[in-house]
Amino acid sequence: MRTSDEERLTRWFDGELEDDAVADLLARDPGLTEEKANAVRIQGLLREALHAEEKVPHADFFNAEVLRRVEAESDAEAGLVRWSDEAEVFPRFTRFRVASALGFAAALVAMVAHTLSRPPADRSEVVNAFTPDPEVSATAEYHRSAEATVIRLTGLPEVPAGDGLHGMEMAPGRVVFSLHPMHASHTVHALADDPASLPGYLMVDF
Amino acid sequence: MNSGSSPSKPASTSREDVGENADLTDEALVEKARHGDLSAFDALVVRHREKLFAMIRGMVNSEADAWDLSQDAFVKAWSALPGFKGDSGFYTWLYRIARNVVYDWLRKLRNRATILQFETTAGEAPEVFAAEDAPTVPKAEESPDRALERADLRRILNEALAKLSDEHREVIWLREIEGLSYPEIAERAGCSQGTVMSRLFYARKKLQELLRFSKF
Repeated sequence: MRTSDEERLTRWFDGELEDDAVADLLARDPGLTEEKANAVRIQGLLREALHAEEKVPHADFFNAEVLRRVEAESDAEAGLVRWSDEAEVFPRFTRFRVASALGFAAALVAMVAHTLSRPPADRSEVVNAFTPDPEVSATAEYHRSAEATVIRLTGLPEVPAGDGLHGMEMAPGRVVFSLHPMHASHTVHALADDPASLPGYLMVDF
Repeated sequence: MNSGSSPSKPASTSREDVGENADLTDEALVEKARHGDLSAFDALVVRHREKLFAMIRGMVNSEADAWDLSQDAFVKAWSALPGFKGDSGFYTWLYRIARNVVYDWLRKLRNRATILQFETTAGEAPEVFAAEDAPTVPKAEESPDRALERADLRRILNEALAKLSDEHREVIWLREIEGLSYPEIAERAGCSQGTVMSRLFYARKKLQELLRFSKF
């Protein structure tokens, strides 16, 4: 099929082809009408089932995570800028040697820190939490015999309904969970590392 | 803030800031964000996250991965803000960043799938896309039967879309779901209008083949 035919047929399916060109197309292949009906049917199905906008799950937490990462990047970049400003006082060669030594040291520190900071296989921890109420905080601990993570929320004024907790696995061992009590201001979103993959217990402290 | 690098860290952010920014245009918010106002960027995220998330979910067929990738796109957009010239609208610019994020991710996924396929025992196909079993926001107006039917239709369409090439899936999304014109799709996808029409032609043909025996 020639490229111009593909373009013409696409324009026809979308109702953007001139009448005389349509007549020309159909004269050459009357079977195209059925093909177009099929394409229009599928178009209808797509528009019925899928939407150009979709609610983002845990939307507040989504934004909080974006901003946390942006701030972390800005902090890291500010550190780099400070270093490059100070580095101007050294000759180029000295800068290179100092930078190499510092780079090696930083890599070593990062490696050790990474090793130390990795939670053991049977430990859970809250990586980040977001709630509009500054009085509410979240911690996590691993319940060995139940093989589940216990999410401990401190500062909630009420015991939330049983169906108020939702979990979503982001990656193996990393879960976003959200708690929606009666009062929206006490909503909690937390990102937690969890060896059992889903938080199985909820405990509330007052 | 130094003008040659990413915007510096802002003083504070809160939900009220988003409210104050709600009436500003994208251009005004971008300008504030370029000067380090994170609350303005927060407002941009609120404004565009649902559209971006829907597009990415359509491309990767996984709610959890779309959630992660949408964040990646916004974070990259923040870093790239100093280079935003305003030649196109903010969302078009953001879309291109998200497109690169998604295409990179899909490429890595396929590379991993190829390795897995090599390591998998004969006849056992690797799972390329994450299972779509994460909870979604329920639609209160729908009856349970209708919601199930819609979920079923959605699953079938997503499976069919996942079998298209990335470029074909993209034009189908932009044309059929977002309803963009050929020039708009060409601008988003970074190709000519002729290429858009050609891709649409073959994408529709392939979708028809894939959905020939579906119950819908």
